[in-house]
Amino acid sequence: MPGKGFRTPGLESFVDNLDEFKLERSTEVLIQLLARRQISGSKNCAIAVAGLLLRIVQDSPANSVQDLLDQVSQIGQRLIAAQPRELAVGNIVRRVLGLIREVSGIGQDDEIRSELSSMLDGQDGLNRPEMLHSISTYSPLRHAASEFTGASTPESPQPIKRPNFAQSGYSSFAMPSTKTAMNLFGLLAEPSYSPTGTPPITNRESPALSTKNLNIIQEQASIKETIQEIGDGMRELLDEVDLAAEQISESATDYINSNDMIMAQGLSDTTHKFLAEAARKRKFTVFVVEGEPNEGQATRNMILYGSAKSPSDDDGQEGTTKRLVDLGVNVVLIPDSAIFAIMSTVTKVLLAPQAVLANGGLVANVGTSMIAAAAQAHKVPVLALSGVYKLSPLYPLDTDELREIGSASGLGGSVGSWGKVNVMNPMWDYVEPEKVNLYITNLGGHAPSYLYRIVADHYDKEDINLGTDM
Amino acid sequence: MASQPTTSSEAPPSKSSEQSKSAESSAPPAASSSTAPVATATPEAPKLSGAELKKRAKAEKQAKRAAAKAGGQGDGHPEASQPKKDTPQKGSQKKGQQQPRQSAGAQQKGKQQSKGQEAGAVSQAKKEVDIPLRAAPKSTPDNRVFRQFSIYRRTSLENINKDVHPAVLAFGLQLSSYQICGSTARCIGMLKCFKSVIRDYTIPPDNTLARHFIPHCLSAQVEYIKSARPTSIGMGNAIRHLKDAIVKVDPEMPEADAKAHLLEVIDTFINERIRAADTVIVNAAVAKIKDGDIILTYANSSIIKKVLLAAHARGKKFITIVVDSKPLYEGKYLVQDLSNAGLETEYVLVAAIAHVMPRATKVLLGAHAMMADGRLFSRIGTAVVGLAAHERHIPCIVCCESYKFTERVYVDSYAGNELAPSEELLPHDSEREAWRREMEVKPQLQVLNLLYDLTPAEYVDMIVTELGNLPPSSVPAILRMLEGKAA
Repeated sequence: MPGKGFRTPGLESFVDNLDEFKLERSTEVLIQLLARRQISGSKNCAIAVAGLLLRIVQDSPANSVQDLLDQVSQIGQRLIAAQPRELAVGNIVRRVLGLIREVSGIGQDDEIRSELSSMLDGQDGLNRPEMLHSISTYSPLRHAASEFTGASTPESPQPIKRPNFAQSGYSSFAMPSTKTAMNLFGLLAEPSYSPTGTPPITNRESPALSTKNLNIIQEQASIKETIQEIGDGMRELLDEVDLAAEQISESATDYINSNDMIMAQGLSDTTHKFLAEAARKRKFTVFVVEGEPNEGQATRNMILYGSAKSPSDDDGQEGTTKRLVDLGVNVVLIPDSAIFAIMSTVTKVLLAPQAVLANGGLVANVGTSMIAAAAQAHKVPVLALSGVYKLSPLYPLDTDELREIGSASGLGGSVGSWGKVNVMNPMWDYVEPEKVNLYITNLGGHAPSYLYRIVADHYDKEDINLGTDM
Repeated sequence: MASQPTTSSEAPPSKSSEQSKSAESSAPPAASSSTAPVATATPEAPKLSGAELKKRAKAEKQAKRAAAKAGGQGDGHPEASQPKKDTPQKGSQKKGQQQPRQSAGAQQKGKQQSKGQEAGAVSQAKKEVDIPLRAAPKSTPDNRVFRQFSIYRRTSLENINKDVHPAVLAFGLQLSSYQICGSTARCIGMLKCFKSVIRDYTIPPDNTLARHFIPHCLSAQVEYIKSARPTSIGMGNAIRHLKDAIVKVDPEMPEADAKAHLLEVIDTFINERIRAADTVIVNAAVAKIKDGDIILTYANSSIIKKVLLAAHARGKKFITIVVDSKPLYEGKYLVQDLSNAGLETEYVLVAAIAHVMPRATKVLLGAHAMMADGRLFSRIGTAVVGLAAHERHIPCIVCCESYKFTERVYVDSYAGNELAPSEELLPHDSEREAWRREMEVKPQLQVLNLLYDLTPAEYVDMIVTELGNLPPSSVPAILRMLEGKAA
């Protein structure tokens, strides 16, 4: 970057330069950064992607919402392909797409939507909880809403247009299929509206034929406002990602008691904030599992300096974070091998996942699965701290896909001369949902079995298959 | 440092307390010319009477306590070394002389004082040999989590009891630097040292080997070895076996014969209980390995290495996965030996156990000791491997010689464990320095470097010993059998 001196490529430099360069260039830069892991960690990736998409949306030349959706979707797929195992990238892309759909649907069909939603609510036997409108709500009506935003949406399913009560009998038939959990193949998720769809055709034709041109003009005028609202929504999303750790830590004292012996898997930013918040009112001990070979250095630095980089590193800075030891917490560093030995005295386990999957399982630094297994063997509760932005709508149908092998040179060097030896350094572990007791998110605590609901609340089912060739 | 008794040992009695004086008076004067423990190697220290020494040591200990309470714990090292130089010898000498105290007069007072002095002397000895990250008593209430462990580790040759044999000295240094590592190696090394000690030992006149050797010679060696690294359970069993043989030595037997007999006892132990046992175990374990197996093992167990090499030599085709961990990284040595012998080897760290365990067909583990309830006491991390195998229904086979069986039962991983110096967990010198400084200032910061852990009996499917293959619940049966043999 001319005139700026050398800056380590990473999140800070990317975000700083985002306004200067053209969109194409910024996109290319981000794809490179992701592919080379110069931006790593779910929070950093989320912020970078959200920042880029915000600019893209704001400067978008799209004339219609559908064009905007297509543009974002294409860029999103390229970003996901750059680093497929960094699920946060895909999460943010899907959130943005869902946001676009939601915002562009607002103000168009409010009355019909509310009428239909009340009808449908009354129909199904299940008690659906009140859903906040500001957080993207999942309802089959979204598909109806999207119908009205674009003149050309041939692939969208037929809308539910049921002006009279008599047809509601069919709606309950359609309802269960729409509420089934979404999965990778989307097999069960497509609602079959055909049993209900008698009036739609007749209803659609007239507005399309007579007011087609009028619609287009209306869209062009309203697209600017829509983009404004989308931009606002995306800034909220960025805030959510930024503040997730703090919001999670607000409930810390609910979960940590005095004289607790807590085992923390590594000391990520979220975990550190959580424990720091609890330390204000509680005295406890934390066993920090080192996480060699990938996270060991960062963990040790976090304990000693309060930040993942030591002051002697290039981009390390003097720790402004108060270290846990300064806050009165007893911190004991233990190697991974000591986990089972220590577990008999541990009262809680804190995990910091890299990604959370829709079935309630999680992906975290290697070694986490044995922490969870040892905790289960000793009946110790396992708490996972993760912002909702880490929650992916994907199901781990093949856990081998999650496996990623890192550099084996970090394995401490060899002793003497070795013959032909296969040295492996896997980076991630998958933990089954049965081993996790509670997810503490910025929206509160949830059981792993409930996460599918939160997924449903935050992502549109059309976006789930984004970037995956299924 | 000669193991030969000094003839100028008229001087030492002045340094000793009342007890040693009275002991020496009860033993004939010639005792001083024999292997009676010599107090110090510094003849220039002032000669105080025993009572004065006792008073001084007590006062020093109280002053140290007061200073520690007042918050000045960092100054223990330099000042402590000077005036307290003679007490460590006394301390270790005290321990060695516990047994014959019965004959000494004023034994009640002696016992009390010796205990107190011993504690004081030992803790002072801790400070003197300046190992950084030493757990000096802190002024703030000690909320360190694992303070039951002493992490004293002797790494220098200062202030050692003069009776320690040079072979034992060298062995101790090898122990504390992990050059000799692994329970079998340590046991054999220790027994070989004892052979040298016995060879160089002479019975003082008017004394018997049975009564004199243990308290006056052997105990000093054992204490020194313990100060280098706590003895393993197998080593403890071996020492007990040797002591049993010593006390049974006929007083009428001439010295040369008695010594030859003891050397033979040691040789028999090594040959029967260790080497021959290993051969039997190897044969039994190799029979369990089939072509196409994927064997997973942890760290570096000597017996497992023998099993794998033997299986390979017999033409079996299998893959070995070696799982390793900090801080000792012992698995690397195993990988080196296996891969250079032509075995197909893989290497991972213990954190990756969930990735390699699904492929494994068997798990072979070595043992530090077997507890009476079938729990496996072994290198830390073994329990993690055992749990991972148990979860996936992979058979877990432990190879353990019978001399490592103990009638003790530990219920958790802390009892009987050994704490290694924290700095071994930190990779670079600069980091060690930074952590050391921080831990001195902040007692809340600790690094836990345990060396052993306890694997529950249900994770172990079979134990292979020289007395047969048995389930973990049969450990007490083996113990009774061994007891019956010894009787």
